[in-house]
Parts: sequence; structure tokens; C-alpha cells
Amino acid sequence: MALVEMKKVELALHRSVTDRVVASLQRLGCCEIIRGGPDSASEKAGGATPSDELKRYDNLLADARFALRFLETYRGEKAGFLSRALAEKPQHSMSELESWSKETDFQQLILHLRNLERQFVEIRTELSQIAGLEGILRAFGELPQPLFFFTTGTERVKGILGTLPADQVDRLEVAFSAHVGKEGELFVRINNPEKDKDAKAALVYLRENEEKVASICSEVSFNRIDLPRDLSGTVGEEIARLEARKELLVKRETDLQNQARSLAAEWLSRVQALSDYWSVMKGRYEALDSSERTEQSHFIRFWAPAESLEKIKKELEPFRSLSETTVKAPEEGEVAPSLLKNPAWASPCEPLTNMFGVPTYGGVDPTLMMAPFFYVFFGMCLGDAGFGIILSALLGWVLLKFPVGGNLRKLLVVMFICGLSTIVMGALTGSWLANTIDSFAFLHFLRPLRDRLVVWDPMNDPMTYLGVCLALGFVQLIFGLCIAFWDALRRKSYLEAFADRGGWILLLNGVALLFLVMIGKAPASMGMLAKSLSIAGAVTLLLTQGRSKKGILGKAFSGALSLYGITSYLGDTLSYSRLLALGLSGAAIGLIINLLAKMISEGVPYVGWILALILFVVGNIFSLAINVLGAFVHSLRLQYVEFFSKFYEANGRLFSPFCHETQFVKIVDSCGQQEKQ
Amino acid sequence: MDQVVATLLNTMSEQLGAMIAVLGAGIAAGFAGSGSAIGIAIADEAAAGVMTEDPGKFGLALLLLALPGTQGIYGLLAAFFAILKVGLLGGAAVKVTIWQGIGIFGSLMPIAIACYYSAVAQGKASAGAILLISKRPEEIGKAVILPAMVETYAVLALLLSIILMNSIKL
Repeated sequence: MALVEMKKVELALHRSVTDRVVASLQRLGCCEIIRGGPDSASEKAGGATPSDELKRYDNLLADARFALRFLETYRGEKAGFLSRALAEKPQHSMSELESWSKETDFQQLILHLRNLERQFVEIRTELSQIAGLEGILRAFGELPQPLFFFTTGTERVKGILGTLPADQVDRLEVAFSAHVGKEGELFVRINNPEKDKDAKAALVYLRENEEKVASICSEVSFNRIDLPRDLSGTVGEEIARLEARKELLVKRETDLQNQARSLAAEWLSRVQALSDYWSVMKGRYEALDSSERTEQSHFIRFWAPAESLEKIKKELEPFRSLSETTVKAPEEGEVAPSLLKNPAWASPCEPLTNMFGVPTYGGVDPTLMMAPFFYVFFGMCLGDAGFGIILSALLGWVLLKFPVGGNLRKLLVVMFICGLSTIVMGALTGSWLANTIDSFAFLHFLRPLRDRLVVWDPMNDPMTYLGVCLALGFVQLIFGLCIAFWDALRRKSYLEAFADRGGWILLLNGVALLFLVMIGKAPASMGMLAKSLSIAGAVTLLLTQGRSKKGILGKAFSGALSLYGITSYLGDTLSYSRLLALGLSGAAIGLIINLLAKMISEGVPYVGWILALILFVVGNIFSLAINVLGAFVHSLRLQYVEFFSKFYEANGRLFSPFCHETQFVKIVDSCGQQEKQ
Repeated sequence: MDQVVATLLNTMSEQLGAMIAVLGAGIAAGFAGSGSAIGIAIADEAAAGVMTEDPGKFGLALLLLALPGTQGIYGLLAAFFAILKVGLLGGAAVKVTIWQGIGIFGSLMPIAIACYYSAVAQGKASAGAILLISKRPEEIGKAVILPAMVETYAVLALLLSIILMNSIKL
């Protein structure tokens, strides 16, 4: 329906022009290269192993990723995620980028950055070592002996440092004085007697007593701490030395950081541009590699929208003597990619369709049929003209102010249109920031204006509005069945069209009409029509739904069973009641906010109105946020679950054109458009 | 003695109806809020786990773990409706009989029960969806839809509660 017709183009080229032709195709950005043809087995040259050029760009890109990751940590201004996403990309032409790529000494920069990164790592490692060591030394704060006793020892004397459980200290002291006595020194310290479970101890002794000390230590579960051998002074001296070293390291780190920052300021945007350029080039060589080649010629196949063929032909005109183009329709068994095309008011919904699944090529694109329902349903779920004005004004401003593109822009446009629809639905139900107009006396003058627009009042008469919601839902379900009916006709499967779809359309309409007659909303004279419609539908289903079964009994049973499917249609219709519920919940939250605001403004003297105002604003922002989320999700669900299930086949593959795909910069055509390779 | 009984009966017919409605409002807001709290906590655990790997997922995770929060709001909403209806929030004095009070109590039960259980269940669904976006953040659209399927029944309960309450004429 709204899927673009695709053609398969086969292009045979002389190898002298291949590079330029591929570059032109990439600039056009309307072809999807078919990679790996039917017989491009590995024996073909260049089929399996990537070319040297491709490898070169792969390496450059890997380096660029490293450089970007490094430089981005040191970028000057910390732009928020949103403003970065909405910011305008700088524009460059391919030839400009190409010359940059040639003249920039990128390898030098990478070496420099790697060197910087290594130094950072070294400094951080040393700093953390120092911190650990300092912690240990501080714990032994008043240790009288210089540390060389404990690291290297002297010829006759040796010492050990360590910790032991606090309750073992007495045992240690007794054992030490008994076995070592005056030939050694013992230093014990408990830093914080109430909390610490461990005591710090230092033992100094003659080397000849080493074994005795070792056995004492194992008795009191002494835990030895080893210090680096270069510590020799007293604890105080060593701490001072470490502090000095630390200061030096921190200063060096700051220096390096400043260096990195200035590098980032100088290089970041350049590296971003280059990284984009290289990824474009990589794409180009990937496309080249996937082509089949003989000694003198290259053979490229791609999908292109039928409407772009003229453009492609014109682009290839200069190479006509050295190329040959064949255009074919997709063959049996080949799956062409799907490209969605819709009028401007519906096309923003395309990402929503693709999110569910890409339409099958040759099938139905539901975007156009879904869009109006989605807009209206969103309006009903949010259901408040005040919210609608805020939403559409905010998004309108964003759309005007920021030049965003792609799916993000489409999503913003969807929300903008939804905002407009919310204004309409809110006005029809008389909800302007809930009942704000009634709540505050100074707004009462707006009442007549509001009342003139009101058609339904869901707060006081929910049943009527529920009827509206269900009727809309029923219309959408029948519409879905009609699309399936039409689609089956188009594919010339008449039995499916008339039996499966037609039967249900007759039956459901008949039953609905019967219901209307019963509750007195339709004239009783319609009763006969309603009954005959229902019976005709039911009989059709009864006779046809068992057609794949064997034997008359099986057919009859399956046919009868299929009528049970009416419950699922009933469920689907009732599911649309959420439109009322969500609309009501938004209005009710607003009602509560207004009630509280009014109570505060009347109850609290002097500052009451300020508090009320704050409550009003904050409350409404909160309510807007959760109701927009709810409205979006639930109106989308109605499309996906209730509507799409009636007709939509999503087995397609999205058309992904071979183009200048960039992340940071926008590539514009330079005047000459010449790209020599 | 007779006088005490008379006063008791008198206040009962005067106030018990409204107070039964208040009981229902308390149960509705309490259970729905508890359900939301449990549901969000379940999703929170998954989100915290995902964020130990990638703290940048905070925004997406927040979106998903906020989903089971709606039930608590529905509960509060229904409770407010009920006490507004029996005239406890100001406005004209309303006379509520015991039978009407029981009716309002009953009308609050769908929201109390369905919101509690659906919020817990939705929390589990959200936790699953958070794990989904930890691997594939681009699928956030689908990830939001999955837990929203559970919420349907809380929405239906809210709808029925409001309709029932509306159908009780005071």
C-alpha cells in the first residue's frame, strides 16, 4: 500500500571507474547494496578476505574510537545529554574531510594520547600504593624504632610488624617477656580500644631468638605485615616522605590533565570529523569488497526504489561508456527491503510501525491507517486541553529551535500532533487543567467560553463517554478487518477475503446493531436487518471455518468452534475502555491538585497563595509527566495488540541505504563533488 | 441505658455510612500503594544490577521502573473520589446511609485488589524489561510495552470502581 516499489539493479563496471561510481552511489544514498551474490563463493577474489584499504580504515577507526573515548573525558563544556542530542552537527564536505585526513598526523596524536594514558595509569597506581602504605604507617603512629629494623634488619637485630586480636595482647606480652625478655622490645597499640578488634604490634628481637618469636606469634594468631624494603626512617619521617611524593604526583597529574584538556579542546572536533570520514570510507570499501570482480570488471548489485532510478541513471551518465545497467523486478523467493512512504501528517508514525516490526515487502504498511487513531486515542487518554497546550507549545518550540533529524524528529512531531489532538479532546470534554476554571473564583469568567465547546462530560456522565470509546474501538476493529479483506482481495485469495474476513465483518456488525436496537439507541425497524446480518455472518463462518479439517463432522465442529472467537472481539472492544479510564485518571489527579491548592490558599494565612501556586505547578508537571507516558504507551498498545493483530504482517526488513552514515558531522556536497581516489 | 443505645443508634445512622466509605478508601489507597511499592522495589533490584555494569542506563531504567507506580496513583485517586463523594472534603453536607456506605466500600474493592496484585506483577515484568534494555537499549519502545500489558487490568479495575461509585446515587 504505502510501501515503495523496489527494483533490483545490476551494474557492471570497468574497474577504472568503480571507485568513482561507488562514491557517487554513496552520496546519492538511495541504494541498498546486496552483499554476497548467489554465486559469490569464497573462490572469488576479494570475496572473503578484506582488502588492504578496508583493513587500513578499520585500524584507523579503532584508533579514532580510543582517541574519542580519551578526549571526551577531558572535553571542556559538559553539555547535557539532551542539548547534545538536539545540537546542530557541524557541516563538512567530503573533499574537505579527505584533505584533513591526509594532512593530519593522526598516528602522532595517537602515540601522544597513549603515552598520556599510560602516565595516568602509572600515577594512579602509585597513588593508591602510597595510600595503602600510609594507612599502615599511621596505624603504627608512635612506633619508637626506625623502620629499617622491620624491613631489612641489622646484622644481629630483626623486627616484625603485624596485627593480632585485641584479646590476645595480654598473652603476647606475657609470652614475650618470658621467652625473649630483655633481649627484645615489644610495642603494642590499640588505636581505638572500644571499637577495634585488632591490636597493632611491633616486635624487635635478636636474630638468635627468631624461632621463639615465631612460635609465640603463631600462638597468639599474629598477622604479619610486610613493608617495602626501601623504608628505613622513623614512621614520622616516612609519612612525610610519602606525603611529599604524593604531592608531587598529584601536581603531575594535574599538569597532565591540563595537557589532556588542551588536547581535547584542540583535537576533539577534528577527530570526530575524521572518525566519521573513515567510517564512510569503510562503508564504501565494504561495498566494493562485496562486489564480484573479474580481471577487468566489477559487478555490483543493489536494491533501489523505483522512483529513484532516474536519479541514479543521471548520476551514472558520465560513466556510461564504461558501465552497463540492468534493472529487474524482485524475483521469486527474493525478499526486497521495505521502505515506508506516507503523507507528511502520517509519516512521523513510521518509527512506531517499525518498532512493532517492519512491514513485509509487498504487504500492507499500516502507518497511514494507524496514525489518525493514534493521534485521537492519545488525545483522549491525556484528555486535557491545558496539558495539550503545554505539550504542543513545548514541542513546537523544540522543533523550531533545534534542527534535529531522523527518527527523533519524527517522534517529536508525533508528540506535537498528539498535543494538538489533546487540546481538541480536552476542549470537547471541558477539561482545562482539570477543573481549574471552576476551582478558582478569578477564573470563573472563562466558564461560558468553556461550556460552549463541551460535548461530553466524562466526570459526571462516564457511561456516555464510555460508549464513545467503545464505539471508536469497534470502528477501528472493523476497519482492521476491512483492510485484511481488501488485502486478501488484492492477493486474489477470495475464499479468505469473503469467508474469513467477510464472515466476521457481517457477524460483528450485525451483533453490534442488534445491541444498539436492544438498548434503544437504534430504531427497532433495524432489528430485522441486524438479525439477518448476524445470521449471514455466522452461517458463513460455520460453513467455512472448518474447511481444512477432514470429514463432515470435523468441519462442522471446527466451524462451530470458530464462533467462539467472538469473545476475543468482545475483549478487544472492551479494551478500548482504557481511553475513558486514563482520561478520567488525568482529570481526577488534576481535580485533587486543585482541591488541595484551594484548601491551602484559603486555609494558610498570608503565604497560602504562594504555597498553593507551588503545589499547583509542581503537581501539574508531575501529572503531565505520568499521564503523557501512560497515554503514549496505552494508545500505542491499542494499535499493536488490538488493531495490528487483525491484518498486519511484520516480516519485512528495513531498507538501509548505502549512504554517508555519520555520527558527529553532517556531510554536505561540495561544489565540485570530485572525489579522486 | 436506653438513652445510650438511642445515641449510639442515632450516630450510627448519621455517620456509619460515611465511615464505611472511609474504610474502603483506606484499604484502596493502602493496598494499591503497597503493591506499587513492592512492584517498584522488584524493578529497582534489576535496575541496580544493570547499573553496576553501566550507570548510563539510569534514565531508561527509571522510565521502566516507574511503570508499576501508576497503581498507587489509581488507588489514591479512587480513595479521593470516595471521600469526595461522601462529603468529607468540604462542599455541601451529604447524607450517606449505611447501605450506601457499604456500596461505596464495595466499589473500591476492584481497585484495592487488582491494583495490589497487578503492581507486583508489573514490577516483575518491568524487571524483565530492564534486563532487556541492558543488552539492547535501542529496544526501549518494546520494553515499555511489555509491562504496560499488565497494567491493563489495573486500568480496568479503576474504570469499574469509578463506574460503580458513579452508579451509587446519594
